[in-house]
Formats: sequence, C-alpha cells, structure tokens
Amino acid sequence: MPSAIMTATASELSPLSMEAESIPLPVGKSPLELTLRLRRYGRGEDPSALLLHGANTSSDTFLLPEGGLVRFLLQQGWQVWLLDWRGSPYVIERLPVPPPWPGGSALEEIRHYTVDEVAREDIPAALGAIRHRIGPRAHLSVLGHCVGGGSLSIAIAKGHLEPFAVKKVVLSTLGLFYEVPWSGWPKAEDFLLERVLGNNPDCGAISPKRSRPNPRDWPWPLDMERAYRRWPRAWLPKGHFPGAQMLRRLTFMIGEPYALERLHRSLRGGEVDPVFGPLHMGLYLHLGQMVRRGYAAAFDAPDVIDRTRLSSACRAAPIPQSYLDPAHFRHLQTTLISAGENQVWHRDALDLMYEWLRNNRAPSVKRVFPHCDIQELLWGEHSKETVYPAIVQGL
Amino acid sequence: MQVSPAGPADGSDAPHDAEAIVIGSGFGGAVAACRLAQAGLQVLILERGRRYEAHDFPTLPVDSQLLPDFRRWTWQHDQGLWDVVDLEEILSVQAAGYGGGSLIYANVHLRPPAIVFDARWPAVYHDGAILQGFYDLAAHMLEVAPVSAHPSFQGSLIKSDQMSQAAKALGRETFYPPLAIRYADGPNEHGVEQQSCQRCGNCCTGCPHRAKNTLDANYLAVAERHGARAMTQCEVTGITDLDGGGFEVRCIDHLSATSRTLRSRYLFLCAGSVHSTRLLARAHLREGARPAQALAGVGYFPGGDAVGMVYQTAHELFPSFGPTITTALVHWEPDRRGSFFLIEDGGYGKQLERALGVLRAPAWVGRNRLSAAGAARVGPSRFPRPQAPPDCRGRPAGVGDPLDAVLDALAQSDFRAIFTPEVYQSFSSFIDELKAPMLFPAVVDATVERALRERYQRTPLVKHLDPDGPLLRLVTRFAKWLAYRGFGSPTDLAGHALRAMLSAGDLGRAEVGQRVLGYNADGADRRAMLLAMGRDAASGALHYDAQQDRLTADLDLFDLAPGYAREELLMTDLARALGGELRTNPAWAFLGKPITVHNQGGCRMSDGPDQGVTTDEGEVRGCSGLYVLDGSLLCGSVGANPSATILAIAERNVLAFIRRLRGPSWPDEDSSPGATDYQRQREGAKAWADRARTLSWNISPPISPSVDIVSRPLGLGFKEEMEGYYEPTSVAPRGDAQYRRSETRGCPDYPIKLEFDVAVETLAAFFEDERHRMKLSGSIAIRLPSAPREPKLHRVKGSLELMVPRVKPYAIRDARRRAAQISAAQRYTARPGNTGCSRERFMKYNLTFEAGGQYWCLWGYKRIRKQPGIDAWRATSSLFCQLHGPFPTPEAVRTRSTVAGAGVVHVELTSFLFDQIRSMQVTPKDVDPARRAWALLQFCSFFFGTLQRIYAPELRTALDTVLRMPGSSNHGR
Repeated sequence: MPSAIMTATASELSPLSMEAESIPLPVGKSPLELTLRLRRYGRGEDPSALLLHGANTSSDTFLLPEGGLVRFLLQQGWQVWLLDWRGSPYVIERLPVPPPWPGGSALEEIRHYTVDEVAREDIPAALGAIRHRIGPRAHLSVLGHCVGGGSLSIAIAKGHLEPFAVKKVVLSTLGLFYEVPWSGWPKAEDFLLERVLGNNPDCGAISPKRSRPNPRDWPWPLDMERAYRRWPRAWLPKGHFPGAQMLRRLTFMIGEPYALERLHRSLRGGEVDPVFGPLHMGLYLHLGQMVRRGYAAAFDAPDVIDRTRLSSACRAAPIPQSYLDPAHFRHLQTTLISAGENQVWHRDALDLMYEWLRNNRAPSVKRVFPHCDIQELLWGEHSKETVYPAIVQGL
Repeated sequence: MQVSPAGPADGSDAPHDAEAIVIGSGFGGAVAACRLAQAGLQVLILERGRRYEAHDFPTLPVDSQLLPDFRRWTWQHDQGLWDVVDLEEILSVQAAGYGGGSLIYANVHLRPPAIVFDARWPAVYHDGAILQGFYDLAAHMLEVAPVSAHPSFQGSLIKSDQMSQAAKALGRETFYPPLAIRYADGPNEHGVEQQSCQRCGNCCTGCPHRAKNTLDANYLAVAERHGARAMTQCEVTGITDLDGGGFEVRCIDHLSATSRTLRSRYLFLCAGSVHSTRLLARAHLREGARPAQALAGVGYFPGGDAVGMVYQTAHELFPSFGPTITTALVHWEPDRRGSFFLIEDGGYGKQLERALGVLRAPAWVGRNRLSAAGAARVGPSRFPRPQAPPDCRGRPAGVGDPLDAVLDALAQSDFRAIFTPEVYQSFSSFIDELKAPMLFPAVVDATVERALRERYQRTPLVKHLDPDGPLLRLVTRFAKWLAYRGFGSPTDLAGHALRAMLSAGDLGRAEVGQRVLGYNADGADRRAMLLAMGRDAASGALHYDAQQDRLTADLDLFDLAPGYAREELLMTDLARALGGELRTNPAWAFLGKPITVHNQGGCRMSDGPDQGVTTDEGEVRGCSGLYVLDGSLLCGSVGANPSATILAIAERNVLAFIRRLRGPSWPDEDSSPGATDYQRQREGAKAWADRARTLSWNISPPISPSVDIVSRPLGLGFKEEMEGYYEPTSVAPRGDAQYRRSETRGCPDYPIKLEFDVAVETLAAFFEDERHRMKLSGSIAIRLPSAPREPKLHRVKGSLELMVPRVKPYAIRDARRRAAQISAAQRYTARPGNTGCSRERFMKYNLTFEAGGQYWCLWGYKRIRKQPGIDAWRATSSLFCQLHGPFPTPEAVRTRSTVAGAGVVHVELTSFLFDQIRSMQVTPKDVDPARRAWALLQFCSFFFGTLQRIYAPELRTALDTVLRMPGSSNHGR
C-alpha cells in the first residue's frame, strides 16, 4: 500500500477544475518496478467506480470532453477512481531507460508487460488501495474500456476480483473475445509485430507520435515503417487537422479509434492528442496473439493461426491456458457496452462475450450503440445523453 | 447444472446433463423448450446460431465503411444469420439463430383451411379440428394482431391500401393477416422489454427494434424463466442412442472452440426440416429405429414460394415503410379442388432499396423461369457437369462454325430484312449478350489467331513445319501484334462495340448503364414486392449422402411449375392493376433453380410405420424418447405461411408428451409455477379464439365461384411446313436409312404435305417440362394407302416433343437403372467422339387426323446427333415418320398398333428461313415488348442452343470458360 498520499492541485488537472487525490501505486517486483497512478474524484461516502482506460491512452480519456464521464458520474453522486495502469503513457514514459535487464534488452520487459500481468497485478492493486480507503462494505464497481475491459474480464475470470467484493462491472467494447475488423487482420496474420521485434529486440514500445521528445519514444522500427508505407492509404483517415498524422499512425497500429467529425465539438482542435501515447510491445504482442486465437488466453500460449472458434473442426480439448471460465462471472452483474461501428475491435468481440455469458447463465446486459465508433462512446457529441446513462445503469 | 466439457464417450452410467435436450430453437424447438420447462423438466436448448437482440442483426455496409462488413450474414461465414443450403434441385434458405425462423420470417400467423389436412395426414389431424385450441395458444403467446391494430394505422400504410385497391380492381378481396408484431412500447406479457413497430420494413432481415414478437421474446423467454438453459453457437453434429436409455449428443461449441458430448433422457429434434432430416439420417440409433430412419427425408416439400417485384407503379407504394407483409389475398383455383395460393404484399428495409434495383434491369426480364430451362435441359439435369473434351481444353475460345455464321449473318445489312423485328430483336440481344466485354476480346483474338495461322500455314516458309511448332506460333504472334497495332487491340474493339451499342437509340450512356445494370434506388417508392406461397407443392424427398454429409433434394420440378406459373400470372394481374412492370423469381435467373424459405416435411407423421418416420405425436418410431417437433413433421403443404401450423402441431405434441409423463390431466392438478403459468396462458388463448372467429383469420374456401386470373401465360407459336413421301408398308422400318429407302420407293406416288401451327401455351411450363411439349394443329395433304391417286386434305392435330433425349432419366424410376444411365453419360463425356445418348436429341411428332370416318396417326421423329459427314441441316430437317391406321376411334390411335406406311418428310431451308422463323410470335399479343423479346430469345436460345451443343459442343464449353455470363452456369448441368 502506498504510504505517501499526494493531493493534486487544480492546476495539475488543467483544463479540468475538478479536484483529485493522486495516489502512486507501486506494483511489480525488481527489476521491473512500476508506479501506477490512482486518482480519486469525489467524496468519501459516495459509491465508488473504478474506471480502466484502454491501451495507448491514459486515464484522461474519462475526463474528456468537459470533464467527461468523470464529471457525469460525480454529478450522479458517485466517487470516481481513475487508474493509470501499466498500459498508460503515464507509466510507459516513466519506464527506466535502458530496461533494467542485462544488455538492456526489451524482450525480458515484454514478458512483464502483458495483459495477464495487468489483470494479475494492476487491477487487484488498485482495488486493494480503493477498498483500503472506502472500507469493505462500500459499493464498488469497475468499468473497463477497450483493453481495460479485456484485462478486467481476465481478472474476473481468474478470480482476482473476488476479494474486493465487486458486484457490478461494465465492459466497454472488449471482453474475453477478440475480434477485429477486416483491416486488422492482415497485421495479426502477418506476424508483423513478431517480425518487428525479431529485427529490433530493444523496441519496447511503439508510439503513434514521432515528434515527442521522449527517450523511450524511438522512431518506428524499419519493418513497422515499411508496413505503414505499404498500407492502403484508403484505409487511413484523410485530411489535415490537428493530430491527423498521429491518427493515421494510430489507425495503422490498432484501427481507427475515432473520426474527428464524430467527436464532441469541443474536441475537434487536437484536444484528444495528449491522451494518446505509446503502446508497449508486450501488450501489443499479447493482444495480437489473442486476436489470432479469437479469445483470451495467456501470453506465449502456443501461437498458431488456428481460429478454431470459426472452424467446425474443433479440437477435442480446450486450449489449456484459455481464460474462458465463467464461474466468477456468475456472481457478477456484467453490463456490456458495444459500439456498432467500432473500427478497433469488431463489435462481435462483445457480442460473443454476451453469448458466452448468457450461455453460462451469468447475469448480463448488452447495450449496443449502433452508430458509434469506439472513442465516440466516451467522447461523442451525444454520449452524455446516451452512453453515460447506460454506463451508470451498469455500475 | 454443470455441463462437462468433453465428457467420456463411453460408460452409459454417466449422469445426464439435462432431462431433455432440445436441438434448435425455431418454431418447434421454442415450443418444446417452453412447455417442457413449464412441466418441470430440466431443459437444455442447443442452438447453433447466435443470439440476436435489437441492433444485432446484420446490416448492409454503410458508405463510410471502406471494407464492407459481411459478418453474421451467412451461417457458413462466421455462424451468421442466414443458412443457405444448396440441395441441388432447390436452394433452401433458413435462419440460424436463437429464435430460428422467427428471426427472419414475415410475422404472418395464418391458419390453413380444414381442407389441407387431408388423407396424407394421420387420422387425428384430419380436418385440423384438433389443432384449433393450439392455434389459439400460439397466437396468444405471439400476441398476434393484424397491422390494422397499429395505433397510427389509419391511412398510413400506403402499400396496403394500394394493394387492396389493385385487388379490388381485379374483383378480389384482400384481408389483413394477423402478424406477430408489437404495437406498443414496454414489456410484453412474458416480461421481455420490447418496442413498438417503427415500420422500418426490416422484418425479414431482422427487426432492429425488437418490435417483432420473435420466439426469444416469448416462448424462449418463458423457457429460460422456468429454468431452461440455452447454449447458443453450439452445433450438434451427431446423436447416439445409449443402451441404458437416453441419448448422447455430440456438438461443437463454436464459442470456446471445443467439442462436447452431452447426455439427456429425452431428445427433441427441432433443427428445421433440412437439418432435422440430416441429423436423423446420420444418427446412431438402436436396431428398432432403422426402418424409420430409412424413411428420413421422404415427403420433403418446399412449398410453392415465388417472389415478384413490380417496378414503376402508377402510384407511390413506399414498400420500405411498414411491416414486410401487411395484406394478403387468397386465390382458389377454380378447377382443382382445394388448391389455393396466397399473394402477400412484401416489403423490405431501406438498406435493400439499391440492391433490389438490380432486378429491374431489362436484362433480367424473363430471365426468370423462362430462362432456367433454355438450353439447360439438353444435358439431363441430374447428370454431373460434363468435363471439357480434351481437344479444346486450355484453348481460350475455340470458335466454332455456328457462332461465326451468326456473326457473319449479323454483319450483313440485309439481315434485318429477312427477320421480323421481333426475331431480330431477340437475336440481336442474344448476340449482344455474347458480345459482353469479357467475351468479345477473346472471340476476336481467337478468330484473328486462327485466320492468321491458316494463312501462314499455306505460305512456303512454314508449310513444311510442324503446325504447332514454335516458328509458326512466333510468326502468328508477330502478325497479330502488327494487326492490333494497326487496328486496335480486341479490348479497344470491344470498347468501341460497347459504346456503339450503348449509344444506340439516342440513350445517354448513364441511362443505358442504369438500364442494363439497374443497380440504383431510383423510383424506390414506386415499387411493390409480391410474395406468393401455394399449396400446390409436389412431394419430394431429401437424400442423405453419408460419405459427403450432404443432402440433396429430389423434386419433380415440373410438378411445381404449374403452381409457380399460376402464381406469377396472378402477380402479373396485380402488376397491371398497380400500373407497373413485373419481374419474377430472380433466383431462376441467377442460379437456375428455385429458392424456398419454407422447407417442410422429411420426418413426417403417419399412422402406419411404413409411411412416415414419426408417430402422430412426433416420436420417432422404434426409438422411444426421441422426438421430432418442427416443420419436418408436416405431411403436406398447408398453403399459408406454415409457422402457425408448426407451432400448433408442436404445442399439441409436446403436451401429449408431458401428459404421458406427468399424468393425463396436466396441468390441471399441478400447482408448480410452470403449470400455473401454462394454465394462465391457456386461459389467455381463449380471447384469441374469439378474435380468430370474428375477424375470420382462417382461410376458408370461397362460397361463390372464385375469380379467375386475367393474364394469360406467355406462349409462343410458329408455322411449319413439311413435304415428303411415304411408302405403304406394314413393317416398321428399323433405322433412319430404312426410312429414307421407303421415301425413295414411295416417291412420287404417296406424297405427304404438312402445314401446321406449332404453339406453346405456357413457355414456362414448356421449359420445365422435360418433354418440352408443343401443340400442333393444321392440315395434312396425303394420299392414304388404298386411296385414289389424288391426295386429300385433312385437318390434323397433335403434339411435338422438342429436343427430348431418347431415354429420359426422369422417367426411370428404378434407381439402379438411372445410375446406369448416368454412368453411361459419364462414359461418353470421357471419350469424345462417342455418340452416347446424352448427345442425341429427338423431336417427336405425333399427329392424328380423321379421314372418312377413320382415324390415322402420323408418328415420327427428327434425330439430332453429331455424326461425321452428316450435314446438319439435312439431319435437323428430316422427319422420319410412320403412318398408323386406320383406327375406328380417336382413343385407339394412341395404341399405334398397326403400321400402314413409313417415309420421310422434310423442311425446306427456304421455308424455314422465310416462313417458319418469320411466323414466330409470342402470345398473347398485348404483352409488353421487353417480355416478348425475351420470350423469343429464350426459345431461340433453347432451340439453337441445343443444336449448337450437339453439333459444336466444344464451343459452349469454351464459351462457358471465357464467359461467366449470368445463367451460363445453367448450361453445363
């Protein structure tokens, strides 16, 4: 448990005027010791909600636009906890340079930077810290957005949430099933990341931004850059606007996360740029493996192009490391928030999760927003009227 | 309840995973699951499809998406919504999803008249009285109500009003069939949250608003409330009958990519007609069930589904506004007892408007059932596609003489003068089609290549070289390159030709493109969709091929054809009344086979063990505990949309099962929540009984004589003249040569002169009838044997069978003989040059005339066969005939017992060119020109196409490979 509690001032949270308590959260063992950031908004006796951001983004995701989901929840009488887990640029940019392994190789670091580790360490650590502060009986629910939802559902499946008396969770756009739109396929099936890493063993993270002065923010490895150059231009967003370059690279990396014209009107001037940051290779590789497999499984499981879920010639036995264990979901009320035009994950990812939960009689509700893309759920013009209430209902 | 992943396959003492497993969640499975759960059984539903809630259904790609997302459209790709199974003779379409067919059906809940429950049904079902209460119960569960119950219905549904008006103009009545649609927001009676109908028209692609009362909103929800467990994306692959009682079901769980084995005491097979049959046919059952299993598939029928689109209606109909079906009209056939069909107005979502524009293009006019036969029936339809003969394999386009001749003829300017405009039109569009950009360059290329080769082969330089040697090839290629440099490449030529073609008739290019391809949403409001389904369905069978795990349907399509033809005629009536043009059944055009969305039968109920798979309560004979409860139980077509009947039969049978288990008075003495629930629902159903009675939801036979269809079918007629001689003889000649000798001996004493009109009343039926019969009437001038020298004129009537094979595979009922026939055909295709039966066709004439109170018969055939050295015209135009008679009565003529003469009559080439082709015309006369042209084209391509296939088979094969014309897939079958 962290000993020092720092109170952030309003100026640190600019442009938001909401006061937050910032709690450093050390996780991991030597040599990879990370310090996560947990932020607390709201008063002590209100019901608590922990929000988990997606990969590539920091927890500021939830503060946009104009205070975003956090402000909405505060208005509804909640207290909000934002965790910058190890996928956040906040953490990745503070990683020691070079990596604290012999020879400075990033390969060792990657093993400690998978979604498994997030589910095993980060989420329980944050929940522990929160429970420590709000007491054992206060209401606590968790929302996971994108990869945050993916790691949250792994944490649930592995029973890591059990000690913290969480009754309700919200999974936004991702659960235990991994489906990507067509444009995501070639990269996963091409083993692009594996190639990149093979040729550049010290490539620790890949950032959609190139201009940022950051020691850990290398220019893209040659293979990545080449693939990006060869990528059909038509699949990348067009136009000149603040952050267009970053959005194009981000679209190549993970799929188009947002379309500028669909964002809240206050976010069309490049306000969302600071939220995005590097994507750690560990997470990236693990996600790629799961995309190929179709559902969540531990990192470094036999990695073949099997897609067994789709073929009728299934294996007799389930894959041993598969996380598809419904036991712990039966004690939870799960709400699934799905974006119909999600370009990062295919909406099937959540539809399959929903079917799996229903088939296994886990209490679950699915809410589909048919004409939203993934970040529009949080940053859309009408999110406040449509998506946020659905989230609050699930928390 | 714990489901063991991949439990042990042996050891029958393993615990059951559920008391009852229900396979499928459609109209049968949902009822079974619901009632069994209410009766307190532990139920497990296995559904291979997905769950679909609001906004989950597949939609057509929106413009912003660069790559269209075709996920969840088809079962074959990603366990999607639509399962399209090719049953060879028919294409079956069904839904895969939690709720089965209810997800995509058009909500209609119609009760058939008592008359449909005829002798084919088990005795208890006769007159259908036993089902009445269950119809009410199903109606109550689905909360059916006609569209007129919608709060803002009055005057808002223009398509219904227009349909009613059009029907009124024809002297017919429409009615509002009850629909399983919700017209109010909020939870329904079973506690499921639903919305009111937004009238978006997407009923058949999945309701995005949950306004449709699909089964997952009622029956399945009740089942789950009473403890039933549903596993979706769980596809059953096999069923085994356990020795100690109970069943083992093997299935694939697509979600977790595992295969499982589940056990249960009872098993309910409700996977839909096609898949229930398949699962039953391949199940490992105990010895006693073998006879029943052998019958699986017998009695399958597709219902008479037809669809038509009316374009350019006089008034706007707004077909994409309102539920898919809102009104219906029933047509009772005047001559046949109890035969009727329904025509319902169709609708579709806005997303389909553009796609449906395609069908409007004139290219598809008449490319309905008319084209399906065409030259297709030349090869017996059940034969495998013949391989290309080795000598033309690998060459791009072996251009044979017939096409050259046609192209040459077209190039002549006096071509128009010879043919009537109609024939010219049909011919030229036939040629236009051949000149499709894909083909044209290849044809040009091959022609030039051949011409050059022939030319250079004669030059001294290469005369003595190998004709296929490299030098000649090089020279030809160089010459070709020079030629194309000078005159433009074939692709350019094709471009020029196309441009010239498109700018003809002062039409803008864009307009022509739109007309040819038609893919647009223009005038989408002025369209009407007509859906027909009829009772006139032939009974067929599904054959299961265990090795390939494939089902094939064995239907006599010709038995279906009259029904289709009648439905389309009434559609034509309606289209006229609506002031638009009709396009019918695109499936025939694209695929050359009909589509059905109403698969029924296959595991039919029967009283006796040798007639059906199941008892009248749905239990598989000889295998207690295994039940079939879905559309495959139906013993005969009910004419109306079958879902209500499937529900009612399932309700009845599952109640019978429960009563055997729980006592005959269930649910009366049972106070469990399930039984109470059932009792309440039964009480509620009474209201629906009253409603059904007062609003006359039953289809009933008309009291007054029914109105006949106005439109006449599209037919065709021409004149034919033949002359020849015969020799009086009492011995039938053997072989063509003997006929010719008889002719020589009979000349000039015994002349025959024939002049008659050949007519086809219904072209559609003509093509689908494998005997391709035409009617003849006219006159014969003949000097009968033992008559004075002067020939006398007699009126003659008869029939002509056009292009029929010597032995008709369809006529061979014995499977072994049919197989021998097929293998003979295959032997032929393996050895080109062998004139096997499949490359020979006959035109069989059968004429009767009366002379002096006695009846005579002139029977003969023209033989069309490729033979070296025989000139095509002579073979095609010689009618080898026998004279039979005299007979005392016209009936006796059919025996053809006495031969009185034999000879040959001929068609003169000039008479053929100038009279016969010119006289060809389409009946009735007032058909619109597009349809008329297409009818001619179809007939011509049937007739000449057959000739070409026989005389120059390699041409068609080559064309087929070059030209992926829509419909070309027909030709090889």
